[in-house]
This record gives sequence, structure tokens and C-alpha cells, in this order.
Amino acid sequence: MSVIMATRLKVHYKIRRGLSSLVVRAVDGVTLGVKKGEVLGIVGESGCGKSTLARTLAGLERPTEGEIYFEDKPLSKFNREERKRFHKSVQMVFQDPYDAINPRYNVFQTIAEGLIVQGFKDKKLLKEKIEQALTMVRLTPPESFEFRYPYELSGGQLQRVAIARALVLEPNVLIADEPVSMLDVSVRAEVLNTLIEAKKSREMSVVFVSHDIALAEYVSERLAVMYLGQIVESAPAEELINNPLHPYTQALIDAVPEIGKKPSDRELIKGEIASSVNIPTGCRFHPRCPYAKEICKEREPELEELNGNHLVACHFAGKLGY
Amino acid sequence: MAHLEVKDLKMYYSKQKLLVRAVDGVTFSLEKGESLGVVGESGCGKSSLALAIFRSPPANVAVFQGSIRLSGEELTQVPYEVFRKEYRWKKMAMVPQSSMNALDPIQTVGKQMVETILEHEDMLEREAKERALEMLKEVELSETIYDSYPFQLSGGQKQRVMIALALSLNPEFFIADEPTTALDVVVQSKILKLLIRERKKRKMTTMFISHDMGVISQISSRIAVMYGGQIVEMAPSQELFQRPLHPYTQKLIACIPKLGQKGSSFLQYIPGSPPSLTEEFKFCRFSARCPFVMNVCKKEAPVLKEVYPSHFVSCFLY
Repeated sequence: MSVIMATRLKVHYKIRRGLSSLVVRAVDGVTLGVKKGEVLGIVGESGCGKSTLARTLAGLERPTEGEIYFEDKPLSKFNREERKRFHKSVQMVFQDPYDAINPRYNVFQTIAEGLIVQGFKDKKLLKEKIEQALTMVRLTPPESFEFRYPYELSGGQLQRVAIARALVLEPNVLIADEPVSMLDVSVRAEVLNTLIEAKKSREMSVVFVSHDIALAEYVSERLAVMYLGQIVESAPAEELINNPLHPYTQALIDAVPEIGKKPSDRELIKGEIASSVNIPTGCRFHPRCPYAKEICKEREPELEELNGNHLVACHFAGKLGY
Repeated sequence: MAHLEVKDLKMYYSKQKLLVRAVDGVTFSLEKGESLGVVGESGCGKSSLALAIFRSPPANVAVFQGSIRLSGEELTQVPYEVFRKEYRWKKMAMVPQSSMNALDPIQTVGKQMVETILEHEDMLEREAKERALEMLKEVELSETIYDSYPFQLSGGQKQRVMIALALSLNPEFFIADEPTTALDVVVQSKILKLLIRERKKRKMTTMFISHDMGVISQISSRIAVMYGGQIVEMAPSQELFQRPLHPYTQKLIACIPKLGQKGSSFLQYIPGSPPSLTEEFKFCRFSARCPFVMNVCKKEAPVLKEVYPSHFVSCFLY
């Protein structure tokens, strides 16, 4: 059973260009679910809609179509009380902690805010909870961090404050949107390991959004690859990396610059990601796909199950010799 | 004779009455056609090093000393105007960090390219346009880009324009500072291939700066690891990854997740943060974060020495 689930989710934005208006189809028909205690990684290039999907799952954007289910109840039918509980149970960590945290709040105020909003009154207990949360993200001893302001912390430390702020509400789902991409390589693992430990000790579900497929593989049990507002492939992490079925996933893996790996000579894929204002007909990926045939221009492939747990949206999945 | 020789280069900034030792005694030399990758965390001085070599230090520089020689000529002694006209862009070109934002938003790409070429070369506007179009073709952009404005281009296209611009005057020495940082992996891999191809074709001496070990490993024949304003290890690319000597280098490599090796190893991190560069270092800069720290590390500063042939490291362990 999924803790949080999206069905046929669409998020479209209207933008005005002079007199006419355009529609940006940021998320365009996504169905996915996250099980209890599972980490789902969502990877894709910039502009593929992964951040919009994350924000919508967290209830920060309203879907244009489709529905989000939290513990099997549709979000749109929630009353005020249920909505409040939802926002407590589904927490989000953003990309840039310096943007996401009020620079005039100290660490204590930052972490306390959510608790206070949720009606937490006992001052002594509040302090205890905050110190627990700080210990959990290894900002120890907590007393030495509580009264510091964001500018007094490094990026890695501040991101761990952001995680503590999310964890203190004991969420069932944590949505992390590129939580380490602003951080130096040397401190990334510290933040990620904090996240993994917290997840293990709490049986929390995590949605981990990243452009870095190697990083996503490291933290996730299952991976979903997004392209132009849709999921094109999804499978258990190891299976997806070792046996990618969609040409796009293949290209993403090929393009990872790894130590000791020579840049591949293979013509990966053509051009760059199209704009979500002007989505190609048929398979969205066909203009860039090295294997595209006539059918790809005409018919949109469905996300279908192939060998068990592996979902892929490609007319020729499993039939391409790469 | 080495093509580029940098000797004991120092560049300090002044910030609120304090000195920030961004580049603190960097020495290296490059043979013609060699490509050096400079890798390190943010704040380690790698961009400052590039700016110093390109002689465009920020306004708050307090100390600038040392020697930079290009084909034996001491660049620091060349009068600034001469340097600007005859060296910058012409003999040495640079693609600066976030260079995509370096393009003028209200001029077409073509006009900016022609302007740059005419500033340095004695040619007709028509010829400059031809050169610009030729360069766009070389970086695999269509001719229509010539009349486009920067806002009409994607990040990858803008980066290609910047590379075309930097190469348009046939420089012998080329610096690229984080050339792929804001780009997606697929585009990144294409830009890297372009850079590798151009470097080989033009036999340019190059310096690539990046925080990404993976990127650096693909485009450099030699790698310098910077920490706290200094080079702490320098070795041929393969050698460095097979036998990293400095604890910082070892740790930095262990910090990177490898595809397809899920669960085989726990990702490492380096506790603490890089040193503030405002103090004078009479000890090893990495000592506060080093797992192998010894007494001597806190009392003396190590110097770069050759431990294996052309493998230099500054650490008391060796």
C-alpha cells in the first residue's frame, strides 16, 4: 500500500505572452506511489517537471487534473483539520537552505515554528524535541547550535537544520528536492547519511528528487526517470541502472562523468530537452531518440510493465540492442 | 621550456581589514599542449588562481605577487594596456565561471563576437563576421544563432557561444572555469567532448577548473588538487586516481557515489569545513579535518615534494 500516491497527475501553468497565453505542461500525467519506508528517487534534466511534481506531492501546488491520495484519501476532499495533519505528515526539504530558511530566525526558532503552528505549547517539551531533532541530524551538542543564525552556519550544517525542521514534526513522508546539489562534494554524504538514518529509524517514506542519477541510486530503493512532465521508466534502483530499457535512461547513464571512464563515443541523444510549452507529438522523446521510427511520431507510448517490477514507456522497450 | 610557468603566485584579498589568502603560493608549469585539471571545493582558491593568471583580479586585491610566464615572457611585467590588447583573448583565452551570464543580453550573439574579434585583430567587419560564423559552425551551432539574442538560447547553447568566442582568436592557452557546472549531464557530456576535440585539434595548452572529480578526470592529462589556496597534490591523471597520496584527495574520491555499486560501500564525507583563509598558516591546512593528523602537522606547514616521478604531494606522511 502506498502512503502517498498520485494518479494521472497534471500540473499546468498559464503564462502570458503579450495578448496570448501559453500553457506550460510541467507535470503531464504522472501516476506513482511511495510505499511505507521506501525511498523513491526521481531523476531527470532541468525542466522535466521533477520539482513541480515534488511540490505538488507536498501540497504546495494545486494539481490541474488528477488526484493525490494520502493514506488512501484524496487530498482535494480534505477538510481543514485533515489538511493540517497532512502538512504535518508530509514535510519538504528544499534545494537551497539559505533560501528556504528565514535568515532572521535562529536555529531554535526555525525548528520550533512548525511545532508551534501545529499547536505545540509546552515550552520545556518543545526544547527537548528540538534538541532531539538536532542530535538526530548530528548537530551536536545541540546547545551550541540552537541560538545560531543561518549566516553563522555552513551550507551543510544549515541543510541539516532544514532536515531537522522537517523531522521534528515526525512526518510519514519526506520530500527532498535536490537536497545536496548546493553543497560541496565533501559534505554531501554527511547530509545524505543523516537522511538515510532518519528514514531507517522512523520508517519514513522519502521522495528524493535529483538530477544526479548516481546520487539518486545511492539513496533510493526505486528510481523513476522523468522526461517532459512524464515518467518514462521506473524500476528498483539496481535494475534500472544495470538494465535500462528506455533510450533516455540509457543516455543519462552514459553521460555520467565517472573517474576512469572515457567519454563514450556513442552518439547519445540529439539536441536538448524541448520546452514544456511545446511538447512533441507521439512519444515526447522521439525528436532526440536515435532509434525513433514512424510509430514514435504518431503514438504516445504508455508506461507499461515489463519483466515484473520494471515499468517503461517506449514502443521498442526490450527490443533495442544497446 | 615550459609553455606556462607559474611560480609562487599569491593573491590575497582584503576583506574587513583582514587578508583572505585565496591563492597562497601556487607553483606549477605546463608543457605545450598539456591539459591541467584543477579540482577542489568551493573556496579553495581555484577560480582566484584562474583570475590571477588571466590578470583580471577583483577590485579588492591587496597582495598580488609571484611570477607567471607564458613562453618565457614574464606576464606580470607586461604593461596592462599591452596585456589587454595583445595577450588577453589573443594568446590566452578564458571561459569564466557562469559564463553563460557573461553575454550581453541586449546584443545579438554575432555582434558580440564581431566586436571581440575586431578589438584584437586588424580586419574588416565582413571578415570578422566570416570568422564568427566559422566558429559557430565549429562548436556545432547553426548559423541562425548569429542573429539570436542570448535569452533565446539554452544554457548549453550559450556555453557553446562562449567557447566559440574564446577560441575565435586562436589562443595558445585556454582556461575554462567550471565549464559545465550549470548544465545537465547529457549536455555536459557533449560540451566536454567538444572541449577535448578542440584542445587536441588546436594543440592548445589548457587549464580546466572544476569541483567535479569525474569531469576533471575526463578532460585532463594532469590534475592538481587545491585546498585552502594551495596545491596539495599534483600528478598525471591516471596516477592520481590509482594512487592518491594526500588524505584530502583520498577522501574526496571516496565522497563520490559510483553508478551501479549500490550498497557496496558507504559513502564517505570529510567532517568539518575548509579553513578560513584569513589566518596565516604555520601548520598543515588540512590538519583539522585529517584522519591521520600527527603532531608535526600542527607545528609546521608541509611543502609540495615529488614522492614518485611527477607525483607531487604536500603531506608529512610521505
